[in-house]
Amino acid sequence: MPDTQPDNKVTLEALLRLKRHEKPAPEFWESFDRELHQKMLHTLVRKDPLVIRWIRSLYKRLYIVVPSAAAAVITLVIALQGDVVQKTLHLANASTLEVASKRSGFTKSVQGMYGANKTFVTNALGYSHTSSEGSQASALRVVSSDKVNYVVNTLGQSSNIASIAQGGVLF
Amino acid sequence: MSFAKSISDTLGTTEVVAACDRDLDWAIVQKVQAGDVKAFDKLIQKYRERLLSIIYNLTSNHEDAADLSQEVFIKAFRSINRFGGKSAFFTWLYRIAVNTTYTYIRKSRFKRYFSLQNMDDESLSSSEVLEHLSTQSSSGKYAVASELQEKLNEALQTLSIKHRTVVILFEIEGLSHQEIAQVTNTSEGTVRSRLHYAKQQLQAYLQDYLN
Repeated sequence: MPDTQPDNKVTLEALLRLKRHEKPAPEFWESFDRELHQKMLHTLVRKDPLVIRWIRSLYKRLYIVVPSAAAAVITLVIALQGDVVQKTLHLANASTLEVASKRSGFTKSVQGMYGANKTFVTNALGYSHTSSEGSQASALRVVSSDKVNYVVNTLGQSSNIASIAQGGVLF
Repeated sequence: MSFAKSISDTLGTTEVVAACDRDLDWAIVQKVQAGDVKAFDKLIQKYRERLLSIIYNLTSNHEDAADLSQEVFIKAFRSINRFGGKSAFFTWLYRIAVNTTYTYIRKSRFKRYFSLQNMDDESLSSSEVLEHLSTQSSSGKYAVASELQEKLNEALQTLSIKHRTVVILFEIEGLSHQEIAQVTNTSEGTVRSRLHYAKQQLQAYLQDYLN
C-alpha cells in the first residue's frame, strides 16, 4: 500500500488524504445553496453605485474614443504639415515680410500703416517686433483683406516665417 | 469507438476523462455567458464540495469557509464573461478561491482550529487508509483518527499560506504540479519546492504521531 509503510506506520500522505473524507452534513448544503442563490439574485438585481457605473462606461468608451482621437490628431498633423509647406513657399515669395500682432481692428490699422501688397505674420501671443503693443489672437487663420495677408498662429513669439514654420502650428 | 480507444491509448484514461470534463465545463460556461443563468447551478453543484474543502483547509474555519465559498461562486459568476476557456474552468475557479482566501486571511489574522465535520463511520469504513491507522478497536480507531486530524490541522496552520496551499491542492485535492502552478500563478519548480519544504515541516511537527 502506498499509504503506509510496511511496518504499519502512518505516513503523512495517508494522514493528509484522510482529510478528503471530511464532509459537511447534507443539511449544510441545503442552507448553503439557499444562501448562495439569494446572494446571486441580489447580485443580479443590485445596481452598482453611480460612480462605478460611470467609470465602467468611461472605460468602455476609451476603447473607441482613444483610437479615433489618435487617428484624428494624426490626420490633422499631416494636413497641417502639408499646409505649412504650401504657406511657407507662398510667403517666401512675398517681397516684404513683417511681423505684427493680431488684435481687434488690426487689419485696417495695418493697412493704413503699411498699405497693400504686404504680408504680415502674426503669432497668437501677439508679440512681434513691429508692433508696439502685443495682443492675443483668438483664431488661427489667414486674414486676407485687400491684398494684405496676415499669417496668424497660436504659438509663442515669432518674428519671421522660419520661426513660425519651426513652431509647426499653422493653419 | 476505435477513434476514442486510440485517443484513450495515446493519452491515457485519466487524461481523456480530464479533457472531456474540461470540455463539458466549457460548454456550461458558454451557456452561462450566453445568458443561461441556471446553467451556472451545474457548476456550483459540481465544485462546491471541493471548493469548500480547499477554503476550509486554508482557513480552518467552518463558517468563514462557507461564506468565502459563496463569495467565490458569486465572483466567478460576475466575471464569467472574462473566462475565455484557455485553462480548465476549475483551475480558474480555484484561483479565485485561493486569492479570495488570501485576502480574507490577510484581513483577519486570527485562526481557529477545529474540524469541519467529524468523519462519519461510513467514510471511515470505506477508507483503505484508515485500516492502517490503527490496529485498535473501532472506537479506538476513531479516537486516534480524530486526534491525528486535530494535530494535522494544527500542523497545517503552522505553515505559511503559500506552502499550505500547495500541500492542500496536491495531497488533499489531488491536483497535478502543473495545475497547482496555474492556480497559484507560479512555476512548477516553485510548486515542487514548496511542496517539499512544506512536507518536511509537517513531518517534523507530527513526528511523534507518525513514528
